[in-house]
Amino acid sequence: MAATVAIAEFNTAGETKTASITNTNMGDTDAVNLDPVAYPVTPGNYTYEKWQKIEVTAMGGSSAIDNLKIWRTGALGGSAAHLTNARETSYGGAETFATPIKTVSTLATETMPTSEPTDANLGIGGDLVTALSAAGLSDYLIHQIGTDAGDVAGSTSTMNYQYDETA
Amino acid sequence: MKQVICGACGKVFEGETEEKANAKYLKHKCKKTGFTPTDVEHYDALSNGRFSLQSKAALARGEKRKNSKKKK
Repeated sequence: MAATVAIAEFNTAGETKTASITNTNMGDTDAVNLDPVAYPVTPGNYTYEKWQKIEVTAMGGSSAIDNLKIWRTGALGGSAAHLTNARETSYGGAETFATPIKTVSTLATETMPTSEPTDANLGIGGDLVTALSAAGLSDYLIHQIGTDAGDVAGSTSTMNYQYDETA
Repeated sequence: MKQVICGACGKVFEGETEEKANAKYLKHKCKKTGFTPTDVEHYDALSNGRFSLQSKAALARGEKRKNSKKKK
């Protein structure tokens, strides 16, 4: 047996949760699994924020899930910037949900790492050292892409959501 | 009412709180995978078996960290 872990996304003012998402496409609509071709971002503007959590649906006999690390691999198009609230130092704690916005985020302000962070950069219960010992959720991961007026095309990259599991 | 949607089959679960809606979601047998969201098989079906490999790697990292803490 092993713990079952997935990514959940929260959208709209109602904080509707979609469990077990299959992609994190970003664009000009506040929707899960969006089609970026149908909802492109006008160069110089921002995507809608993504509000996501790592969800443990069952511990499967394990005792702890911790050391949550978030990063992206693959380059963005043009001069776009990928920003997040995830960070290894000066972590801001568990954020309270707010309707995702497509103006510059005041919460996602740290550049998304492009390689595996040394230590945890997403918290559980508001800090980076707490572990989940039962089914539950991480703090919110908030991220957003800001494009440059000179950008002409989108890009495809991979988001990495990593956890450690202790039997 | 809060809503939780199964990202695999699209079924919507409602409850007075997210926890109550989520409890219903966790008990449902997904029409796409044939398993519940608490079964490893549910995630393996959605990832072509990659979930079990990722899970094994997560366990290895966790055990390695636990053992290194013991040595200290």
